[in-house]
Amino acid sequence: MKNIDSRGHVTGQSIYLDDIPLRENTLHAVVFDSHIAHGKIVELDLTEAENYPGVHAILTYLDIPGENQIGGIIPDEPLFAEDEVHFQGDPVALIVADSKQIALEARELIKVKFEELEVVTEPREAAEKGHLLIPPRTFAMGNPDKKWDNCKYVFSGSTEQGGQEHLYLETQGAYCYLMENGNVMVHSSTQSPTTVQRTIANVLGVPMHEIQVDVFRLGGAFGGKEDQATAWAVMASLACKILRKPVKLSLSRKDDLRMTGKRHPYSADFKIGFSEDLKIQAYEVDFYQNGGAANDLGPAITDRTLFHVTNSYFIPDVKATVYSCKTNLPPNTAFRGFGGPQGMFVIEAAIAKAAFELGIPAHVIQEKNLLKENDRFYYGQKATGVNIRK
Amino acid sequence: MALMPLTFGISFTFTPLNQANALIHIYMDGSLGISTGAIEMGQGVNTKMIQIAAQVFSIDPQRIKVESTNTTRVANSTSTAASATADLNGQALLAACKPLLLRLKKLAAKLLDADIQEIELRNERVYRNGKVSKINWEQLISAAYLERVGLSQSGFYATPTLHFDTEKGQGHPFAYHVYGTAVLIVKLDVLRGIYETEEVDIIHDFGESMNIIIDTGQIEGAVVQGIGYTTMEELVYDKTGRLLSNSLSTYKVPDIYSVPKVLKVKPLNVKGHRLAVLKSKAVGEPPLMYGLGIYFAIQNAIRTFNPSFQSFDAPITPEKVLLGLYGKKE
Repeated sequence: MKNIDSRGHVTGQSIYLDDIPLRENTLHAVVFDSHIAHGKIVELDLTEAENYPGVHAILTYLDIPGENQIGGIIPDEPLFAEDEVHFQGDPVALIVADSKQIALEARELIKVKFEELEVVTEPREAAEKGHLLIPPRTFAMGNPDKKWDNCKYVFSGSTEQGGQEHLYLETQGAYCYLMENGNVMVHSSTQSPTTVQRTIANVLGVPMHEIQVDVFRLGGAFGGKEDQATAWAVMASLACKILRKPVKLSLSRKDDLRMTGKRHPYSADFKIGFSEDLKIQAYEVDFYQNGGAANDLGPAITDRTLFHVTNSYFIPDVKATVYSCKTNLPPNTAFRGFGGPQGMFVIEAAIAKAAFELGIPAHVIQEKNLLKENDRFYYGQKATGVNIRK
Repeated sequence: MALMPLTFGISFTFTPLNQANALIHIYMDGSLGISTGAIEMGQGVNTKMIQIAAQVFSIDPQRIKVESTNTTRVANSTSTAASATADLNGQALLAACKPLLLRLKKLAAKLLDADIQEIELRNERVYRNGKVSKINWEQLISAAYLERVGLSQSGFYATPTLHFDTEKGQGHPFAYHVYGTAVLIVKLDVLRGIYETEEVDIIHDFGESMNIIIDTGQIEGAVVQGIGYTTMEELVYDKTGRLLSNSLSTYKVPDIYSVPKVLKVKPLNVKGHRLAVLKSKAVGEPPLMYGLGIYFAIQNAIRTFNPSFQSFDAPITPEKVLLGLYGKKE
């Protein structure tokens, strides 16, 4: 069956967030974010921006009736910075005005003074300083340390992997308006309507049933709208609730690129040991995950990295550890593969390194070590229906 | 050239997320509206939901509309993520379809004065003992309304077999795994450090794909996204934490010229897994990782020119390739 959306997409008739007709008196919101990566807010002067013609309000954490918190797994991410900012792009305030243009002009009039603090962007540096988002997480089967001496060949090395921008064609955004009795209707470009609903309810201090989230389709997401669509929907509904008017918040491409997290960059150290017939006997790997300033979905991404460290190979003794490092970058987030690619790249690099040192093609090692039916993954599950060799 | 095998576990690794709800309304004219927790984001999940309902009732897919994803119709939904959305929501949809189908069959049996085991819905008609009856789909639904048979139904699904001890790091976190292998071939310009992907050949385990056009599209897109990640997409922050690659002029994503000149995807001829919806395995994320293989293909190509080259620093941009071709061993 042909994709039911193919005609709509090709003729431009599919409806995205920006295609929703706006109600009368809709206000437009723009986020004022930190231009430094780490510092204390010494002074925030909104006066001039507030008095700019066409501006209805500038909201900060002080306007939040519920909890100033949007962290999904671990509550470590305020909606608006209170006294400290942790990355360039960290939201500080929301300007709500008659038009987006007016809001953008008013944004230039906000004056903020920071006391700058040390900026860390590299995960290994963060780990050395003890800046971890969660305690180190280790999965293991057997004990590689007891195996190295019995290995014919042992190789070690390091890898680097950069992040990745989602670049969904439709940027982040939400449109909210009030229904009867203060209930809020939310159109959000999100992969997670329930997360959006729950988080809005928590920030507004109302029960979930007062918040209705509706999603028709997204113009791409790739994981970038699993957790990071939430903030914008919460901000729009906060403004909507306070000002009692419909509010639209749709990020420009530049704001989106600057404020949102990406795929986690990883830095890793590996050690791999082989028997004489090139069977992998032991594998140990330490990952330094660049988490950015908050956990976001990091703990789950950490786990998926750990689940995929052996990719398609059977290895009897494995130990893998992820250090989720807190840096002064936007909180990194889900991206298609969700930590899996970062785990797999390192085992492939370890095999490539061994092949290089032994002067043989990598596929010889790859083929010798592929999973077989009922081999056990190092996290306990048996491999079944293994089709990889066919 | 390089080989990239792939094994990817399907399920949310946080077990409680592996649940879903669906809601079906059959309107009295025989058209259907279905709601699930799945979000359509270009991956074709709505088409798959229609296929599932159309198959259960054996009706024209044109009769079925997928409604928006709305928290008042489907509550407590799990994110559309982890490649598991068609599986989870498709199974919830099946769970909603089944009691509805049973009620309709019961009614048809009554109308035809038959036993329910003799009744089957096929090609928009009621069949009795394999023979077409006088009742078609619209008549059946109309009769159901008049006979006060409920035409709305919700369904719930929780993936069985899953358990995982997060402290010990042991258990059975995945419903199943997706497998496959890619062969990636690149051509390197040793003067300029630029490269082209000549060919990517993939053998992929779709299970029994319910929509091979959509699934192949997912693989093609994912491979290109994976190649972009591994080759040209370079995020750069300066020491102050400022994003330097802050626009599409400074952050390069794959364009039409970056697509492999030949990209072949061959489905493995296998039996599907019982926990994959309609035995059609998840396809969203896994094929991205075929793209990682491009790193090792380029590395192998550099080594034919500079045998001492060894580095594992992705993305492997043309600048790094050029340095690798003419640099010393790191």
